[in-house]
Amino acid sequence: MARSRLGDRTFRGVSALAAVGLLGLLGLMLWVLASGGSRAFAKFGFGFLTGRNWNPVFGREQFGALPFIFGTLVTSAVALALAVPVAVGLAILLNEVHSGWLRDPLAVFVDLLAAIPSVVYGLWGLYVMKPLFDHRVEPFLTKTVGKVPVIGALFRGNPNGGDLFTAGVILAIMILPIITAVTREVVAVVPRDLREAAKALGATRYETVRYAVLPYARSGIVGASILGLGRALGETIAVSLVVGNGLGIGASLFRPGFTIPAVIASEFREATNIGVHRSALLALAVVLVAIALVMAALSRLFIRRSAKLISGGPPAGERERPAIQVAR
Amino acid sequence: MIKGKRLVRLGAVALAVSVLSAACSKSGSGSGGGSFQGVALTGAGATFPQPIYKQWLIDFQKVEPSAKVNYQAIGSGGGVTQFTQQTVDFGASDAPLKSAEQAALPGGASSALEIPTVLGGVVIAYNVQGLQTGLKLDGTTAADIFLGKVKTWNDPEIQALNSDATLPPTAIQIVHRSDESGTTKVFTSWLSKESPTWSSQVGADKSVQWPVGVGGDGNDGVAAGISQTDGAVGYLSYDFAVTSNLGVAQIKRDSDGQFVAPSVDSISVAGGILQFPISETTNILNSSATGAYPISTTTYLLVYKDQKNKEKGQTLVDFLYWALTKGQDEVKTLHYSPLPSTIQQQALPLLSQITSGGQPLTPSSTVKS
Repeated sequence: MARSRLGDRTFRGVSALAAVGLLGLLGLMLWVLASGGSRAFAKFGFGFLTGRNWNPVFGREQFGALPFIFGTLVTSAVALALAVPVAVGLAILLNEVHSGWLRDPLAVFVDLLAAIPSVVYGLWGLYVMKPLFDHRVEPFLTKTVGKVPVIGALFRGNPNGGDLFTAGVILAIMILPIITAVTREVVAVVPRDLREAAKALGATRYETVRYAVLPYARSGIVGASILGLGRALGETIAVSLVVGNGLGIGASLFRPGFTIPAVIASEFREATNIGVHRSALLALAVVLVAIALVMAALSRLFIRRSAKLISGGPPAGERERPAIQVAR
Repeated sequence: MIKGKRLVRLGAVALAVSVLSAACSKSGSGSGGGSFQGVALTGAGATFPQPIYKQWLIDFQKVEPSAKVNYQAIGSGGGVTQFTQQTVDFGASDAPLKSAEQAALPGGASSALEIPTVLGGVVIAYNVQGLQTGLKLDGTTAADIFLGKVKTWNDPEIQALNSDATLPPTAIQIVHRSDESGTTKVFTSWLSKESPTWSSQVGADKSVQWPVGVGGDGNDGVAAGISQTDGAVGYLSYDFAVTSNLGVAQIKRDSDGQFVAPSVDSISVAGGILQFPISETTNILNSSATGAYPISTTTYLLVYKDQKNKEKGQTLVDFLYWALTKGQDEVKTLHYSPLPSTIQQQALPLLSQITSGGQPLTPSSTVKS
């Protein structure tokens, strides 16, 4: 008895230490970044977040983070929009389809994608994908989707391959494996009862997935997407090689953009402390951490909401589709 | 206390031994066995001269076998920082030290030497279907192109300089460096000299706010960007451009109106106007020397005049002497340009300012033969 209590206490102590240590590490990191970036924040104030100029020329320094915040969010959004549907489809295929000949090679292939280092994606993007997008894909999209009202505005402009769209596509490929892997696990743990109940009610295989499996797995899929988003927000080298590294802001995805990690990696090596350049780059890092934290918080909020949906039915005042609804 | 005293005594003995051995090596010169073997050194800085420095360090070790020199190409900014913090034995920078950087040195403004080692150039490279290499450009036109004012290749401003060429109406796409780079500093400094508009709107530094264009990472990124797009133009360091298959522009000299293509020789000639001592504003842009390529630059090694460790100081002096003499013969094979002999003759005496414990360090006989 005494031994097990001692074991419990040790275990609790060790895990508490690890937990506090992790928080401490995050705090320390933020403090170092914030103190390094304080000179830029002090000089430009709130204008640092809304400024559209980034001029590192000594003597006329002016630093605004908006183009980088814009580029980071847009490339990540494009990546998620492309990767999540494919990942969910893949996960369902790998779980629900039981014929082996396609399943196993496909699973291995997706896992393999995760093992490729990002610089390899970047080089492939620079030498293969960028010219292809420049000469074929983007002109085609402009001619077709570009004519559609509203959405079309995203696909008009002057395609040159090195732009927000190309970066988004390469990010989508990079985050596909992690979203697929997590979604697969989530879909696999959907209780058999649910599937069998749906089938018993006469649901087809598609309807079972649509109305029984996916709603149950929804919060897990959101979690998987957040993991992917985290990687997309922080990806540096692959994005830097294809994003065009320009300060453009606007509706079109076919314009050179820049992301926060890419600009830090590009300029930090040579940035000196004589002006505020180095400080401005550290301040950008603080902004990036803040974006990541906000995204994580939003996703938790969403997960909590959808978890409530499944366990306790729709909350008051909201009209949501029941978890299982097989009527037609 | 006792321990401290013993340490001091030990240090004194060690110092005496090292001084003695160094003295022996010098007195024993010429007789073979006792010649100076060098010691290990660490340096850090500019990426532009990295290939030639690596080659030099390998070949210098054949002269002084124990002189293992580790050069880390972390960028000029990092090189200056590490040199100032004295975490390396020598620094390397593409730009002369700013006066603020000079003042920040531990020994004050004139405690370090800036020694030019090799020359390089920045070329305007392009990829335009139907346009041969050797397009003629002057500073104003180049600035207008990079400002986005000249939008197509058949613009009258370009046509006026190339009356014999048929220029296509292709749109101009600018490719510039996205990382901070000495190459960008040299190029934008030249544009600032040539165009008041560029000077007032953009200015010159290791990275600037480009009015138009796409950014590529490193020389490779820019070269890839140019070669993939019809109508693209950008700037590359000469040693890199010479190995790519891109068109390279001839640049008009302001002094005599001649057009000069970048080459190892036309860049080397440009170094003739270098003036000592090196100051914040030293550069060899628009060199008035006959046949000089206008967008040329030099790169520097940074060493402290007072060397705390005599053996390291001796190795450093030997290496610098060797690099400025024999080392210059290897420069061309890697597409860098050697210092012109007039400059070499002015740079060598700088080494006599390097001392250790008040004693001047003279190059060993091993590097002189």
